[in-house]
Amino acid sequence: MIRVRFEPSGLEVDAEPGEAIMDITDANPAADVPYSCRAATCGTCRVEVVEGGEALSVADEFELEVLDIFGDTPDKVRLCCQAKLVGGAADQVTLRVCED
Amino acid sequence: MTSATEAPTIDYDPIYDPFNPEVIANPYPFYERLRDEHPVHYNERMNFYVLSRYDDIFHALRKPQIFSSAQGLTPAKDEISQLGIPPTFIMMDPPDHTRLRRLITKAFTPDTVKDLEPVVRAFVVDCIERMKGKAADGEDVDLIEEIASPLPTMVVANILGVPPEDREKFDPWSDAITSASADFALDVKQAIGAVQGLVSYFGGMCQARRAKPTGDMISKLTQAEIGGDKLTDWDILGFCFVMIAGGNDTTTNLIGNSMRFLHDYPDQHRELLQDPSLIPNAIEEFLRIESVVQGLSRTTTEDVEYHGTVIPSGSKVHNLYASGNRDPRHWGDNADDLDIHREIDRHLSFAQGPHFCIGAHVARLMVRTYFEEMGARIGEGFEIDWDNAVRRQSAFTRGFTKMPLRIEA
Repeated sequence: MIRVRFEPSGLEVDAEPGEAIMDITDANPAADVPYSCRAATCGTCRVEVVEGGEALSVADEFELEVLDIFGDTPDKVRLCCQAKLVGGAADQVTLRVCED
Repeated sequence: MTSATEAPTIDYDPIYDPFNPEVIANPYPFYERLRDEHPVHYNERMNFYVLSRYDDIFHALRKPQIFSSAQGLTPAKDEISQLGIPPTFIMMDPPDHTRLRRLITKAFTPDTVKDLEPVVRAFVVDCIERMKGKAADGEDVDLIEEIASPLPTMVVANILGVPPEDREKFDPWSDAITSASADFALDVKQAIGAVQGLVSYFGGMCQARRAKPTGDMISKLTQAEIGGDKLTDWDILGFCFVMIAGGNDTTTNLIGNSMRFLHDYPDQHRELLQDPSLIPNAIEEFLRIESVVQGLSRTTTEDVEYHGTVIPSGSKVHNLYASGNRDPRHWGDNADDLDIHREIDRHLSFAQGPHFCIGAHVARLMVRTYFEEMGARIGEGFEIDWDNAVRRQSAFTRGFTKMPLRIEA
Protein backbone atom coordinates (compact mmCIF):
# COMPACT_ATOMS: atom_id res chain seq x y z
CA MET A 1 0.00 0.00 0.00
CA ILE A 2 1.26 3.44 -0.91
CA ARG A 3 -0.18 6.65 0.45
CA VAL A 4 -0.46 9.31 -2.24
CA ARG A 5 -0.95 12.92 -1.18
CA PHE A 6 -2.01 15.62 -3.63
CA GLU A 7 -1.27 19.28 -3.04
CA PRO A 8 -2.56 21.92 -2.78
CA SER A 9 -5.86 20.04 -2.32
CA GLY A 10 -4.44 18.06 0.63
CA LEU A 11 -6.26 14.89 -0.44
CA GLU A 12 -4.59 11.64 0.62
CA VAL A 13 -5.42 8.30 -0.98
CA ASP A 14 -4.11 4.80 -0.23
CA ALA A 15 -3.35 2.91 -3.43
CA GLU A 16 -1.69 -0.28 -4.60
CA PRO A 17 1.50 -0.65 -6.68
CA GLY A 18 0.53 -0.87 -10.36
CA GLU A 19 -2.22 1.72 -10.08
CA ALA A 20 -2.00 4.69 -12.45
CA ILE A 21 -2.03 8.13 -10.86
CA MET A 22 -4.65 9.17 -13.41
CA ASP A 23 -6.95 6.35 -12.30
CA ILE A 24 -6.51 7.46 -8.71
CA THR A 25 -7.36 11.07 -9.50
CA ASP A 26 -10.28 10.08 -11.73
CA ALA A 27 -11.69 8.10 -8.83
CA ASN A 28 -10.98 10.98 -6.46
CA PRO A 29 -11.80 14.28 -8.22
CA ALA A 30 -11.04 16.14 -4.98
CA ALA A 31 -7.35 15.58 -5.82
CA ASP A 32 -7.97 18.50 -8.20
CA VAL A 33 -5.35 17.64 -10.81
CA PRO A 34 -6.10 19.28 -14.18
CA TYR A 35 -5.97 17.06 -17.26
CA SER A 36 -6.53 17.66 -20.92
CA CYS A 37 -5.07 15.29 -23.52
CA ARG A 38 -4.51 12.44 -21.02
CA ALA A 39 -1.90 11.10 -23.44
CA ALA A 40 1.50 12.68 -22.71
CA THR A 41 1.25 15.53 -25.12
CA CYS A 42 -0.14 18.76 -23.64
CA GLY A 43 1.55 18.87 -20.21
CA THR A 44 -1.55 20.15 -18.42
CA CYS A 45 -1.28 17.51 -15.67
CA ARG A 46 2.30 18.29 -14.62
CA VAL A 47 2.95 17.79 -10.91
CA GLU A 48 5.98 18.51 -8.82
CA VAL A 49 7.30 15.42 -7.02
CA VAL A 50 7.61 16.62 -3.45
CA GLU A 51 8.54 13.20 -2.06
CA GLY A 52 8.51 9.55 -3.02
CA GLY A 53 9.51 9.85 -6.67
CA GLU A 54 11.11 6.42 -6.47
CA ALA A 55 7.62 4.94 -6.08
CA LEU A 56 6.67 6.18 -9.56
CA SER A 57 7.25 4.33 -12.83
CA VAL A 58 10.07 5.47 -15.11
CA ALA A 59 9.12 8.23 -17.57
CA ASP A 60 9.08 7.14 -21.24
CA GLU A 61 10.34 9.15 -24.21
CA PHE A 62 6.99 10.86 -24.81
CA GLU A 63 6.73 12.04 -21.22
CA LEU A 64 10.36 13.18 -21.21
CA GLU A 65 9.75 15.20 -24.35
CA VAL A 66 6.77 16.97 -22.79
CA LEU A 67 8.66 17.65 -19.56
CA ASP A 68 11.47 19.15 -21.60
CA ILE A 69 9.09 21.71 -23.13
CA PHE A 70 8.66 23.17 -19.68
CA GLY A 71 12.31 22.79 -18.69
CA ASP A 72 11.41 20.01 -16.27
CA THR A 73 13.21 16.78 -15.42
CA PRO A 74 11.49 13.59 -14.25
CA ASP A 75 13.20 13.57 -10.87
CA LYS A 76 11.31 16.76 -10.03
CA VAL A 77 8.19 16.84 -12.22
CA ARG A 78 5.94 14.14 -13.69
CA LEU A 79 2.86 13.90 -15.84
CA CYS A 80 -0.04 12.47 -13.86
CA CYS A 81 -1.46 10.96 -17.04
CA GLN A 82 1.63 8.75 -17.38
CA ALA A 83 2.99 7.91 -13.93
CA LYS A 84 2.08 4.68 -12.18
CA LEU A 85 2.88 3.46 -8.69
CA VAL A 86 5.58 0.84 -8.35
CA GLY A 87 6.13 -1.36 -5.35
CA GLY A 88 9.17 -1.98 -3.19
CA ALA A 89 10.19 1.64 -2.87
CA ALA A 90 8.67 4.52 -0.94
CA ASP A 91 5.34 4.08 0.84
CA GLN A 92 4.47 7.77 0.63
CA VAL A 93 4.26 9.92 -2.48
CA THR A 94 3.44 13.63 -2.46
CA LEU A 95 2.58 15.39 -5.72
CA ARG A 96 1.94 19.11 -6.03
CA VAL A 97 0.12 20.54 -9.07
CA CYS A 98 2.49 22.83 -10.97
CA GLU A 99 1.45 26.46 -11.10
CA ASP A 100 2.73 27.18 -14.59
CA MET B 1 -4.17 42.91 -70.20
CA THR B 2 -6.97 41.54 -68.03
CA SER B 3 -10.48 42.65 -68.94
CA ALA B 4 -13.01 43.69 -66.32
CA THR B 5 -14.85 40.40 -66.65
CA GLU B 6 -11.84 38.09 -66.32
CA ALA B 7 -10.69 36.84 -62.95
CA PRO B 8 -7.11 37.87 -62.22
CA THR B 9 -4.64 35.08 -62.80
CA ILE B 10 -2.91 33.89 -59.65
CA ASP B 11 0.48 32.30 -60.04
CA TYR B 12 -0.04 29.48 -57.56
CA ASP B 13 2.93 27.62 -56.18
CA PRO B 14 2.82 24.40 -58.22
CA ILE B 15 4.05 22.15 -55.42
CA TYR B 16 1.67 23.29 -52.70
CA ASP B 17 -0.51 26.35 -52.49
CA PRO B 18 -3.47 26.14 -50.11
CA PHE B 19 -5.49 28.53 -52.26
CA ASN B 20 -5.01 26.59 -55.48
CA PRO B 21 -8.52 25.37 -56.41
CA GLU B 22 -7.04 22.01 -57.40
CA VAL B 23 -5.62 21.61 -53.90
CA ILE B 24 -8.93 22.62 -52.35
CA ALA B 25 -10.76 20.07 -54.52
CA ASN B 26 -8.42 17.20 -53.66
CA PRO B 27 -5.29 17.96 -51.63
CA TYR B 28 -4.07 14.38 -51.19
CA PRO B 29 -2.06 13.98 -54.41
CA PHE B 30 -0.31 17.24 -53.54
CA TYR B 31 0.41 15.98 -50.03
CA GLU B 32 1.85 12.74 -51.38
CA ARG B 33 4.21 14.64 -53.66
CA LEU B 34 5.23 16.93 -50.81
CA ARG B 35 6.04 13.98 -48.55
CA ASP B 36 7.95 12.09 -51.22
CA GLU B 37 9.78 14.87 -53.04
CA HIS B 38 9.59 18.08 -50.99
CA PRO B 39 9.38 17.22 -47.29
CA VAL B 40 10.42 20.78 -46.48
CA HIS B 41 8.79 22.99 -49.08
CA TYR B 42 9.07 26.76 -49.32
CA ASN B 43 6.04 28.50 -50.82
CA GLU B 44 7.60 31.61 -52.29
CA ARG B 45 4.33 33.27 -53.28
CA MET B 46 3.08 33.33 -49.70
CA ASN B 47 6.44 33.15 -47.93
CA PHE B 48 6.00 30.13 -45.72
CA TYR B 49 7.45 26.65 -45.29
CA VAL B 50 5.47 23.41 -45.33
CA LEU B 51 6.08 20.23 -43.33
CA SER B 52 4.18 17.20 -44.58
CA ARG B 53 5.69 14.04 -43.04
CA TYR B 54 4.24 12.62 -39.84
CA ASP B 55 7.47 12.51 -37.84
CA ASP B 56 8.46 16.05 -38.77
CA ILE B 57 5.08 17.49 -37.83
CA PHE B 58 4.82 15.41 -34.65
CA HIS B 59 8.13 16.71 -33.37
CA ALA B 60 7.57 20.31 -34.51
CA LEU B 61 4.27 20.48 -32.63
CA ARG B 62 5.93 19.14 -29.51
CA LYS B 63 8.65 21.79 -29.56
CA PRO B 64 6.88 25.08 -28.84
CA GLN B 65 10.20 26.56 -27.79
CA ILE B 66 11.22 26.46 -31.46
CA PHE B 67 7.83 26.44 -33.17
CA SER B 68 5.93 29.32 -31.59
CA SER B 69 2.17 29.92 -31.78
CA ALA B 70 2.45 33.55 -30.73
CA GLN B 71 2.42 34.92 -34.28
CA GLY B 72 -0.79 33.17 -35.29
CA LEU B 73 -1.75 29.85 -36.77
CA THR B 74 -2.11 30.48 -40.50
CA PRO B 75 0.66 31.10 -43.03
CA ALA B 76 -0.21 34.83 -43.03
CA LYS B 77 2.48 36.76 -41.17
CA ASP B 78 0.32 39.53 -39.75
CA GLU B 79 -2.79 37.49 -39.06
CA ILE B 80 -3.35 38.61 -35.47
CA SER B 81 -2.95 42.34 -36.01
CA GLN B 82 -5.26 42.30 -39.03
CA LEU B 83 -8.02 40.40 -37.29
CA GLY B 84 -7.85 42.47 -34.11
CA ILE B 85 -8.75 39.45 -32.05
CA PRO B 86 -8.30 39.12 -28.29
CA PRO B 87 -5.13 37.34 -27.05
CA THR B 88 -6.41 33.80 -27.38
CA PHE B 89 -4.53 31.14 -25.49
CA ILE B 90 -4.10 29.11 -28.68
CA MET B 91 -1.88 31.93 -29.94
CA MET B 92 0.37 31.91 -26.89
CA ASP B 93 3.40 29.90 -25.86
CA PRO B 94 4.26 28.39 -22.47
CA PRO B 95 4.28 29.62 -19.74
CA ASP B 96 1.52 32.17 -20.54
CA HIS B 97 -0.35 29.56 -22.50
CA THR B 98 -0.05 27.04 -19.68
CA ARG B 99 -1.50 29.45 -17.15
CA LEU B 100 -4.64 30.08 -19.16
CA ARG B 101 -5.04 26.55 -20.39
CA ARG B 102 -5.01 25.11 -16.88
CA LEU B 103 -7.88 27.35 -15.92
CA ILE B 104 -9.91 26.60 -18.98
CA THR B 105 -9.27 22.89 -18.66
CA LYS B 106 -11.58 22.94 -15.66
CA ALA B 107 -14.48 23.26 -18.11
CA PHE B 108 -13.48 19.99 -19.75
CA THR B 109 -12.94 17.58 -16.86
CA PRO B 110 -14.22 14.01 -17.24
CA ASP B 111 -17.07 14.87 -14.89
CA THR B 112 -18.02 17.91 -16.96
CA VAL B 113 -17.96 15.86 -20.13
CA LYS B 114 -19.99 13.14 -18.41
CA ASP B 115 -22.54 15.72 -17.32
CA LEU B 116 -22.84 16.89 -20.92
CA GLU B 117 -23.71 13.45 -22.24
CA PRO B 118 -27.44 13.42 -21.42
CA VAL B 119 -27.78 16.94 -22.83
CA VAL B 120 -25.99 15.91 -26.02
CA ARG B 121 -28.00 12.70 -26.34
CA ALA B 122 -31.33 14.42 -25.86
CA PHE B 123 -30.39 17.00 -28.48
CA VAL B 124 -29.19 14.38 -30.97
CA VAL B 125 -32.33 12.28 -30.49
CA ASP B 126 -34.49 15.35 -30.99
CA CYS B 127 -32.64 16.27 -34.20
CA ILE B 128 -32.91 12.74 -35.60
CA GLU B 129 -36.58 12.43 -34.79
CA ARG B 130 -37.24 15.82 -36.36
CA MET B 131 -35.36 14.73 -39.49
CA LYS B 132 -37.45 11.58 -39.66
CA GLY B 133 -40.62 13.58 -39.26
CA LYS B 134 -39.65 15.95 -42.04
CA ALA B 135 -38.71 13.09 -44.30
CA ALA B 136 -42.03 11.38 -43.60
CA ASP B 137 -43.77 14.62 -44.57
CA GLY B 138 -41.89 14.69 -47.85
CA GLU B 139 -39.70 17.65 -46.89
CA ASP B 140 -36.07 17.96 -47.95
CA VAL B 141 -33.64 17.04 -45.18
CA ASP B 142 -30.06 18.25 -45.01
CA LEU B 143 -27.90 16.34 -42.53
CA ILE B 144 -25.55 19.29 -42.02
CA GLU B 145 -28.34 21.76 -41.37
CA GLU B 146 -30.45 19.45 -39.23
CA ILE B 147 -27.85 17.96 -36.92
CA ALA B 148 -24.15 18.25 -37.83
CA SER B 149 -24.11 22.03 -37.55
CA PRO B 150 -26.55 22.72 -34.69
CA LEU B 151 -25.11 20.00 -32.41
CA PRO B 152 -21.72 21.64 -31.71
CA THR B 153 -23.35 25.06 -31.63
CA MET B 154 -25.63 23.88 -28.86
CA VAL B 155 -22.74 22.33 -26.94
CA VAL B 156 -20.50 25.39 -27.20
CA ALA B 157 -23.38 27.61 -26.12
CA ASN B 158 -24.13 25.24 -23.25
CA ILE B 159 -20.54 25.31 -22.01
CA LEU B 160 -20.36 29.09 -22.26
CA GLY B 161 -23.75 29.60 -20.66
CA VAL B 162 -25.37 31.42 -23.57
CA PRO B 163 -29.17 31.46 -23.24
CA PRO B 164 -31.17 29.71 -25.98
CA GLU B 165 -32.61 32.92 -27.39
CA ASP B 166 -29.11 34.17 -28.28
CA ARG B 167 -27.85 30.98 -29.85
CA GLU B 168 -28.70 31.85 -33.42
CA LYS B 169 -25.86 34.38 -33.28
CA PHE B 170 -23.23 31.67 -33.09
CA ASP B 171 -23.35 30.23 -36.59
CA PRO B 172 -22.76 33.48 -38.50
CA TRP B 173 -19.85 34.36 -36.19
CA SER B 174 -18.34 30.92 -36.50
CA ASP B 175 -18.74 30.86 -40.27
CA ALA B 176 -17.17 34.29 -40.68
CA ILE B 177 -14.23 33.57 -38.40
CA THR B 178 -13.59 30.14 -39.86
CA SER B 179 -13.80 31.52 -43.38
CA ALA B 180 -11.32 34.21 -42.47
CA SER B 181 -8.85 31.61 -41.35
CA ALA B 182 -9.51 29.58 -44.46
CA ASP B 183 -9.44 32.33 -47.08
CA PHE B 184 -7.72 35.01 -45.13
CA ALA B 185 -7.14 37.70 -47.71
CA LEU B 186 -10.69 37.63 -49.00
CA ASP B 187 -12.86 37.63 -45.92
CA VAL B 188 -10.98 39.70 -43.40
CA LYS B 189 -13.65 42.43 -43.30
CA GLN B 190 -16.37 39.90 -42.67
CA ALA B 191 -14.30 38.35 -39.88
CA ILE B 192 -13.70 41.70 -38.22
CA GLY B 193 -17.45 42.21 -38.06
CA ALA B 194 -17.88 38.81 -36.46
CA VAL B 195 -15.08 39.46 -33.97
CA GLN B 196 -16.64 42.79 -33.03
CA GLY B 197 -20.00 41.11 -32.53
CA LEU B 198 -18.40 38.49 -30.35
CA VAL B 199 -16.42 41.01 -28.31
CA SER B 200 -19.50 43.13 -27.71
CA TYR B 201 -21.73 40.22 -26.73
CA PHE B 202 -19.33 38.39 -24.45
CA GLY B 203 -17.92 41.62 -23.03
CA GLY B 204 -21.41 42.35 -21.75
CA MET B 205 -21.74 38.81 -20.45
CA CYS B 206 -18.44 39.09 -18.55
CA GLN B 207 -19.61 42.23 -16.81
CA ALA B 208 -22.92 40.63 -15.93
CA ARG B 209 -21.29 37.45 -14.58
CA ARG B 210 -18.75 39.38 -12.52
CA ALA B 211 -21.64 41.21 -10.87
CA LYS B 212 -23.79 38.10 -10.51
CA PRO B 213 -22.13 34.71 -11.12
CA THR B 214 -24.44 31.94 -12.34
CA GLY B 215 -22.17 28.89 -12.29
CA ASP B 216 -21.62 28.76 -16.04
CA MET B 217 -18.19 28.69 -17.66
CA ILE B 218 -17.88 32.44 -18.00
CA SER B 219 -18.85 32.89 -14.37
CA LYS B 220 -16.14 30.42 -13.37
CA LEU B 221 -13.58 32.21 -15.48
CA THR B 222 -14.48 35.60 -14.03
CA GLN B 223 -14.02 34.19 -10.52
CA ALA B 224 -10.89 32.12 -11.21
CA GLU B 225 -7.48 33.13 -9.91
CA ILE B 226 -4.02 31.92 -10.78
CA GLY B 227 -1.28 32.98 -8.43
CA GLY B 228 -3.55 35.71 -7.13
CA ASP B 229 -4.27 37.10 -10.61
CA LYS B 230 -7.80 37.18 -11.99
CA LEU B 231 -8.49 36.73 -15.67
CA THR B 232 -9.30 39.93 -17.47
CA ASP B 233 -12.38 40.31 -19.66
CA TRP B 234 -9.99 40.30 -22.61
CA ASP B 235 -8.60 36.88 -21.52
CA ILE B 236 -12.14 35.53 -21.28
CA LEU B 237 -13.10 36.98 -24.64
CA GLY B 238 -10.14 35.19 -26.14
CA PHE B 239 -11.45 31.95 -24.70
CA CYS B 240 -14.93 32.59 -26.15
CA PHE B 241 -13.33 33.27 -29.52
CA VAL B 242 -11.50 29.95 -29.45
CA MET B 243 -14.59 28.05 -28.37
CA ILE B 244 -16.75 29.45 -31.15
CA ALA B 245 -14.17 29.42 -33.91
CA GLY B 246 -12.67 26.08 -32.97
CA GLY B 247 -15.62 24.22 -31.58
CA ASN B 248 -18.34 24.61 -34.17
CA ASP B 249 -17.33 23.81 -37.70
CA THR B 250 -14.73 21.27 -36.70
CA THR B 251 -17.31 18.86 -35.32
CA THR B 252 -19.71 19.62 -38.16
CA ASN B 253 -16.99 18.73 -40.64
CA LEU B 254 -16.01 15.61 -38.75
CA ILE B 255 -19.56 14.27 -38.93
CA GLY B 256 -19.85 15.13 -42.63
CA ASN B 257 -16.51 13.58 -43.53
CA SER B 258 -17.30 10.45 -41.53
CA MET B 259 -20.54 9.98 -43.44
CA ARG B 260 -18.65 10.25 -46.72
CA PHE B 261 -16.17 7.57 -45.73
CA LEU B 262 -18.88 5.25 -44.48
CA HIS B 263 -20.53 5.64 -47.86
CA ASP B 264 -17.25 4.67 -49.54
CA TYR B 265 -16.74 1.72 -47.18
CA PRO B 266 -20.23 0.22 -46.73
CA ASP B 267 -18.95 -2.98 -45.14
CA GLN B 268 -17.36 -1.01 -42.35
CA HIS B 269 -20.53 1.03 -41.95
CA ARG B 270 -22.48 -2.19 -41.52
CA GLU B 271 -19.96 -3.38 -38.96
CA LEU B 272 -20.38 -0.20 -36.95
CA LEU B 273 -24.14 -0.57 -37.00
CA GLN B 274 -23.89 -4.16 -35.82
CA ASP B 275 -21.34 -3.44 -33.11
CA PRO B 276 -21.53 0.10 -31.65
CA SER B 277 -18.57 -0.72 -29.38
CA LEU B 278 -16.42 -0.11 -32.47
CA ILE B 279 -17.55 3.53 -32.68
CA PRO B 280 -14.84 5.13 -30.48
CA ASN B 281 -11.97 3.66 -32.51
CA ALA B 282 -13.81 4.42 -35.74
CA ILE B 283 -13.97 8.07 -34.69
CA GLU B 284 -10.20 8.15 -34.25
CA GLU B 285 -9.87 6.67 -37.73
CA PHE B 286 -12.27 9.27 -39.17
CA LEU B 287 -10.16 11.94 -37.50
CA ARG B 288 -7.00 10.44 -38.94
CA ILE B 289 -8.05 9.84 -42.50
CA GLU B 290 -9.46 13.30 -43.11
CA SER B 291 -8.31 15.99 -40.72
CA VAL B 292 -11.04 18.59 -40.55
CA VAL B 293 -8.31 21.14 -39.93
CA GLN B 294 -5.84 20.30 -42.68
CA GLY B 295 -2.99 22.03 -40.93
CA LEU B 296 -1.93 24.94 -38.73
CA SER B 297 1.13 27.13 -38.74
CA ARG B 298 3.83 28.01 -36.26
CA THR B 299 6.68 30.53 -36.40
CA THR B 300 10.27 29.46 -35.85
CA THR B 301 12.16 31.11 -33.01
CA GLU B 302 15.56 29.91 -34.29
CA ASP B 303 17.05 28.35 -37.39
CA VAL B 304 15.97 24.73 -37.66
CA GLU B 305 17.05 22.08 -40.15
CA TYR B 306 14.91 19.32 -41.65
CA HIS B 307 16.15 16.96 -44.34
CA GLY B 308 19.08 19.23 -45.18
CA THR B 309 16.98 22.38 -45.53
CA VAL B 310 17.44 25.17 -43.03
CA ILE B 311 14.25 26.98 -42.09
CA PRO B 312 15.37 30.42 -40.90
CA SER B 313 14.32 31.89 -37.57
CA GLY B 314 11.13 33.93 -37.89
CA SER B 315 9.66 31.78 -40.67
CA LYS B 316 6.07 30.69 -40.83
CA VAL B 317 5.90 26.89 -40.98
CA HIS B 318 2.66 25.24 -42.01
CA ASN B 319 2.20 21.79 -40.48
CA LEU B 320 -0.01 19.70 -42.72
CA TYR B 321 -1.75 17.43 -40.21
CA ALA B 322 -3.82 15.89 -42.99
CA SER B 323 -0.69 14.86 -44.85
CA GLY B 324 1.04 13.46 -41.77
CA ASN B 325 -2.09 11.51 -40.97
CA ARG B 326 -1.75 9.71 -44.30
CA ASP B 327 2.00 9.31 -44.30
CA PRO B 328 2.71 5.65 -45.14
CA ARG B 329 6.05 5.99 -43.33
CA HIS B 330 4.05 6.04 -40.10
CA TRP B 331 0.73 4.40 -40.95
CA GLY B 332 1.78 1.78 -43.46
CA ASP B 333 0.85 1.16 -47.07
CA ASN B 334 -2.90 1.38 -46.41
CA ALA B 335 -2.66 4.92 -45.00
CA ASP B 336 -5.15 6.18 -47.59
CA ASP B 337 -7.73 3.53 -46.69
CA LEU B 338 -10.36 3.66 -43.98
CA ASP B 339 -9.86 0.93 -41.40
CA ILE B 340 -12.03 1.28 -38.32
CA HIS B 341 -9.99 -1.46 -36.66
CA ARG B 342 -6.67 0.33 -37.18
CA GLU B 343 -4.50 0.63 -34.09
CA ILE B 344 -4.06 4.37 -33.78
CA ASP B 345 -1.39 5.62 -31.46
CA ARG B 346 -1.30 9.37 -32.01
CA HIS B 347 -2.93 11.01 -34.99
CA LEU B 348 -2.33 14.70 -35.59
CA SER B 349 -5.90 15.93 -36.01
CA PHE B 350 -6.11 17.38 -32.51
CA ALA B 351 -2.50 18.60 -32.84
CA GLN B 352 0.22 17.49 -30.43
CA GLY B 353 2.07 19.24 -27.66
CA PRO B 354 0.78 21.99 -25.38
CA HIS B 355 -1.84 23.05 -27.93
CA PHE B 356 -3.54 19.67 -28.11
CA CYS B 357 -7.23 20.39 -28.76
CA ILE B 358 -8.76 21.21 -25.39
CA GLY B 359 -12.22 20.18 -26.57
CA ALA B 360 -11.15 16.82 -28.01
CA HIS B 361 -13.10 14.80 -25.45
CA VAL B 362 -16.23 16.86 -26.01
CA ALA B 363 -15.91 16.44 -29.78
CA ARG B 364 -15.55 12.68 -29.33
CA LEU B 365 -18.64 12.66 -27.09
CA MET B 366 -20.71 14.50 -29.69
CA VAL B 367 -19.68 12.30 -32.60
CA ARG B 368 -20.00 9.07 -30.63
CA THR B 369 -23.50 10.01 -29.50
CA TYR B 370 -24.39 10.98 -33.06
CA PHE B 371 -23.36 7.57 -34.44
CA GLU B 372 -24.96 5.64 -31.58
CA GLU B 373 -28.32 7.33 -32.04
CA MET B 374 -28.22 7.40 -35.84
CA GLY B 375 -27.48 3.68 -35.76
CA ALA B 376 -30.24 2.92 -33.28
CA ARG B 377 -32.91 5.12 -34.87
CA ILE B 378 -32.19 5.04 -38.59
CA GLY B 379 -29.65 2.25 -39.06
CA GLU B 380 -29.13 1.54 -42.73
CA GLY B 381 -32.44 3.13 -43.66
CA PHE B 382 -31.05 6.26 -45.27
CA GLU B 383 -29.27 7.41 -48.36
CA ILE B 384 -27.28 10.56 -48.93
CA ASP B 385 -27.79 12.35 -52.24
CA TRP B 386 -24.11 12.68 -53.04
CA ASP B 387 -24.79 14.36 -56.37
CA ASN B 388 -26.15 17.32 -54.48
CA ALA B 389 -23.85 17.25 -51.47
CA VAL B 390 -21.62 20.33 -51.34
CA ARG B 391 -18.03 20.34 -50.16
CA ARG B 392 -16.77 23.28 -48.13
CA GLN B 393 -14.55 25.39 -50.37
CA SER B 394 -11.78 26.13 -47.95
CA ALA B 395 -8.02 26.27 -48.12
CA PHE B 396 -7.47 24.92 -44.62
CA THR B 397 -10.47 22.85 -43.60
CA ARG B 398 -12.25 19.83 -45.12
CA GLY B 399 -15.91 19.16 -44.75
CA PHE B 400 -19.35 19.55 -46.24
CA THR B 401 -21.77 22.46 -46.13
CA LYS B 402 -24.72 20.52 -47.54
CA MET B 403 -25.60 16.85 -47.36
CA PRO B 404 -29.14 16.04 -48.59
CA LEU B 405 -30.52 12.95 -46.88
CA ARG B 406 -33.28 10.55 -47.85
CA ILE B 407 -34.70 8.53 -44.97
CA GLU B 408 -36.69 5.39 -45.62
CA ALA B 409 -40.15 5.35 -44.12
